[in-house]
Amino acid sequence: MSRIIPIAWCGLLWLATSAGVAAQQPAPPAKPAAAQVSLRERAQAALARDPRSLAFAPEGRWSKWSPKDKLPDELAGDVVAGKRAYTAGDYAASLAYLYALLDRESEYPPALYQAGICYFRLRRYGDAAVLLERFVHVVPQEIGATQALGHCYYSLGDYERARDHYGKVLAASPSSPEAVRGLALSEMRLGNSKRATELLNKVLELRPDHADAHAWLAQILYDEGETAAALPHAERARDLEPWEPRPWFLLSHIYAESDRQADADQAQQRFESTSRIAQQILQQQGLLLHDPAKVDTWRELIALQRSVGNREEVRDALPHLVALGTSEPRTALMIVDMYEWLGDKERAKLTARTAEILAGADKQSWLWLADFYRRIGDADSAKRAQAAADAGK
Amino acid sequence: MPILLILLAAPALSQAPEPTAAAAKPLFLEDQARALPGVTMTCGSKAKDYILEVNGGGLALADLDNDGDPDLVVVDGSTLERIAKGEPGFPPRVFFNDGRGVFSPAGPAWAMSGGRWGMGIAAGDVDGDGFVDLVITQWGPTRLFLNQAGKGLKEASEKAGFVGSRWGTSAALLDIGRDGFLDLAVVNYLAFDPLLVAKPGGECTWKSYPVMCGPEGLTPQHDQLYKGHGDGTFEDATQAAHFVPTEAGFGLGAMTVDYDGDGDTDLYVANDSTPNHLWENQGDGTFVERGFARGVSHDANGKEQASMGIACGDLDSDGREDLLVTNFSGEAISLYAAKGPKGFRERSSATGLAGPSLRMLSWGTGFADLDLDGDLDLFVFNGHVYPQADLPGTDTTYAQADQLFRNDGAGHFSVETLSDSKPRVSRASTFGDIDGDGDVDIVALELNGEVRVLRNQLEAMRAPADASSEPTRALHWTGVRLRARGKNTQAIGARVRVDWEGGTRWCEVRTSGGYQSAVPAEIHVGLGSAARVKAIVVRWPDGTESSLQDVAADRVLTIEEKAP
Repeated sequence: MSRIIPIAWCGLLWLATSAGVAAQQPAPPAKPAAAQVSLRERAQAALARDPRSLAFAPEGRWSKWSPKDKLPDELAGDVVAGKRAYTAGDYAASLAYLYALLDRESEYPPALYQAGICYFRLRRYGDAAVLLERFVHVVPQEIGATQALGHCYYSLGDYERARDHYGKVLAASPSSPEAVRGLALSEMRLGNSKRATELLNKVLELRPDHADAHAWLAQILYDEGETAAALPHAERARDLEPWEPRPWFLLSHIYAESDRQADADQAQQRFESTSRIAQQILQQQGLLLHDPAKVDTWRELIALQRSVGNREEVRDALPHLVALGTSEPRTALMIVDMYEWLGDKERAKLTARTAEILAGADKQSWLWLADFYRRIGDADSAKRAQAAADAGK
Repeated sequence: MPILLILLAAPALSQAPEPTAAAAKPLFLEDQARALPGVTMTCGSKAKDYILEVNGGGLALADLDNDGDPDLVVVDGSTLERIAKGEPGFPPRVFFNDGRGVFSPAGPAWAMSGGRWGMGIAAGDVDGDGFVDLVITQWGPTRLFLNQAGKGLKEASEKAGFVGSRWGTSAALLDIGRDGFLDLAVVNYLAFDPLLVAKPGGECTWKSYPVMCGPEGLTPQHDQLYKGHGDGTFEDATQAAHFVPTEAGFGLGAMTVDYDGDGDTDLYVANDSTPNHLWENQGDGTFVERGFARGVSHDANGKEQASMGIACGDLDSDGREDLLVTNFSGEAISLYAAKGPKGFRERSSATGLAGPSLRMLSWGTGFADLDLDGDLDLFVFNGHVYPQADLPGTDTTYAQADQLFRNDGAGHFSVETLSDSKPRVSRASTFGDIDGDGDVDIVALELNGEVRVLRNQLEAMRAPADASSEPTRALHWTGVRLRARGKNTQAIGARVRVDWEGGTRWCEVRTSGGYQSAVPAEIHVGLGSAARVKAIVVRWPDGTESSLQDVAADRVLTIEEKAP
């Protein structure tokens, strides 16, 4: 698998209780204050727990549960806190709240589900599968929302079980491109290339710009010796996501076999450069899984994503950096820069004001801000920043 | 009954990853209690605080006394305590085979001194006297032991011409220039200094757990190539042969193979966490690295893998051998199927190898016709590098089951339990017919544990028709040993084609065993129900050919190269 399959934080739990929870901005992760140390300990304890040891509810207890059900008041606190932690990328802390909830209300379906998703995010696929299986058992009518369980089995190399589960998800939710994609990849792993090809084409019918589907299709066709048919899909994948190493890797081989050696060499160079950065990105993402409050790691990750032009990832990561807050002008300037790059001038300008406060006597920061204000056409602010720089402020 | 229902629904995913389809009776019987009692190996402490402690030692099956059966050499390691005290490592040991696959310690004439910290082994007749010599790699200088006409071993490291003191892992003997002298490739891992490498305790993590550091963050070492003089001495030809890649890899596995069928021997190197290298022999004493171009450097997604061991064999009888590398947990083993004149395609998924291997960290491996049905099967030994793999949420385990992948004859493999052994932390392995019964047996190393003898229990005999009849053989095989005229007496690098009713296969004579190991320089081919071999064609290293027609099966043939 080339990357973690994106999983949206399912609305099963939060639909029932969105009141009072910030919708867009991630909350800052836990900081090492006295009360929060306790949360870290709870998070560590949650990570050490075996999800198989969770108590069972009486059979049928949740059989009539629906995502539209009102959240019981006594559970609201943990739900809100759990969502805040999850949104901040602090999956261990989120698990702690969800376990607390499940200890009080056994097999409460949305908590089972969300805890499974937390494990999935933590790349603990076996543990995730245990909880998601229990969720499906408790509320089988919600199976259409459990493509993550298919992803777990796929990530564990259990492709037959993944295939079976994706099939069930699709029976309930036939238009899920991610479930079709999962089914396609499971079929491919099971050696059923033809079926995989059909399914990937179906993904492309649902979402013609699905870069990953193009890349897999190219790969299967190439592996089957259909080099000419693989080429347009590899090129489309490359065009859609030029920062991904895989299309370049494939293209290098396809071009070489098509006697286009110069193109092959160029593709290999791009493969090597994108591959290096992709590895660094993976490394930073891995660090954040277990230490989501680390400003430097977010900075590094955002800088890497920016360097390859991946706006979507920068857009996802930036709010985390913003939420952590900063007393450093360089971080504030980076945020300004990123908002500007994303075309969000309003946020860029707002953050620039914060950066001014933090800039203090740092001439370089003021010069940078003066340039920024000039770029966005704010002459007064540019003049003010330049004056501060000239004054050696 | 909610508990029962849920247990049925949710598999025990945190437990040891087991092969999914177990045969009623495993094909192999773990037999070291009888065949090699009490022999263990050591590689550092059990805590595995440093990367030096995790790779294990080496194994060779080679007929050292020329009595017709493969003897066993075990390369042992050391401990950091011994290193700190200036004590030598545990010495490599030779065990003689009684012909029935029972090994006993060789006498004092075969004793080898303890080196620094033993790792791998290559076996071959480097001085052309007709007896197999031994090259031992170590964390430290490479060593050479010359066979004294089957009467013992004598260390010849000082005059061998080996240079430097690196961390050697696998070594392979090959005749680069087809001059009749065996040359040597030594694969090196990384620069390790226990005083400089980060101490255990949190600097390096894996799945959030503190673990030993490396190989990432440490400096990979370049591999080395030595030109043999045919007398037990060598000269460093690394630079002259252009055996230096753009970037060094963390080398672990080595396999000799004439991948492009041009008659000279190429070399495939498995690198940990860095792209694998395919060294194409140019025929003029130099090499060009072609791993990426040939499609064997990365997995199918273009991802660098942590590769360990290598298996090699012609799975589809197209005349080109296929390559397989074993990898880290979370990375399936990679089968690179030869396609076209020189290329490869990664076919692990299509052949059923990907899923069952994904959660394993795999090392020693080999292709062999383990059930004598005429196609090549695969065995893989597994075991994690981190004892922390047993902690919650890793989706893998420290000790892992051995795996047998049985070929269905159509290019698809089904996984089976190799033996009834408990899961082990396995490392190197070697294979050959140790008991002379015609099927292939295996010897494997357990890290800081037993040297395991896995005896093939294939029931190749057909039950007698009545009490007065003798049982007859239902499954047949043939073995081939070559005796070349020059100093490469075992004809390493020769290619042998075996034709039988229902099949044909090209095999290459080699002793490189893939991961820190050596295999006997013999060809073994399962023939299924064919009781005769239609033809055996030998393409000798010097390019000449000879052949035999209509040969009886179920025996090892020794074919001598005739004078021109």
